[in-house]
Amino acid sequence: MSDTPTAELSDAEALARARAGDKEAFGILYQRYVQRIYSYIYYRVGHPQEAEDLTARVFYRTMQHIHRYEDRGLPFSAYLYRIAHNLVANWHRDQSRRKEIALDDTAWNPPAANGPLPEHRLIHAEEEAQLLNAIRRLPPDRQELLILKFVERLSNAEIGQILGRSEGAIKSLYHRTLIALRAELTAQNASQD
Amino acid sequence: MPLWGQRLPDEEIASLEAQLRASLTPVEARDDFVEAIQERLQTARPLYVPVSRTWRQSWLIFSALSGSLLLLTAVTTLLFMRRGKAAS
Repeated sequence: MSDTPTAELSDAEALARARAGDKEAFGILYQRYVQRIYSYIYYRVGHPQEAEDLTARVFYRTMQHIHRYEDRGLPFSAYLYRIAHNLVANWHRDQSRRKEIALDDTAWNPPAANGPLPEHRLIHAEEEAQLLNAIRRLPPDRQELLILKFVERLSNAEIGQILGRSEGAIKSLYHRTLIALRAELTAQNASQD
Repeated sequence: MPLWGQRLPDEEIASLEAQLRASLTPVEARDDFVEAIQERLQTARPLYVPVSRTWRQSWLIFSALSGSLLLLTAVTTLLFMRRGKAAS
């Protein structure tokens, strides 16, 4: 094994060490990706506490299965997003089983909406909440696509790697997603008028 | 309303993308949460149990169990044979 200081390891090197049981190397991977995974999960579930719980579970699960990780030429982040995607899907399934969730809990909680806001920011916050709620009504694969594209700033090719689809399929799904989003927003505006 | 086959004008796409870019910004997890999980990951049980070790453990358990079973069968057979001889 090389003597490269742990913090300077590339993902591939850190992964190789983590697979051999090096917790420090796994810690490096955790530090590199925790914020991205948290952000992704936060937008999929809309609750900071649930997002924290699921983020922790993503890394515990990754740690448990890291020795079985196979390098198939995909970035390590694709593996983490896959685990996060599965856990979020399970979470949504559990939530739909538990029908006692209050309606207020299903609305989106924008990250920084504390305290009184000036009027222009209030309007912007309302528009933002409308948009986020419209996104949440889209099918899960479309929500995921928008989050990966706009929050994580990934390219269509990278998103394709994570979702297991071709770049062309992602491009086409993206266009259909925008059409569906526009329809959702129009419906929301119509119901408010 | 069926959406299949619809197309959005370029300016609508640009406007929606601008809204998405403004609203979907990365959200940061709390520092104390990040540190707490980091600590728990460092103190969790070993990441990896070598396969050879688990095989060795399974082999030992199997040997011990089959050995005990063999011994029990031998003792029982011996007892039956002794009893048979005594009866005749």
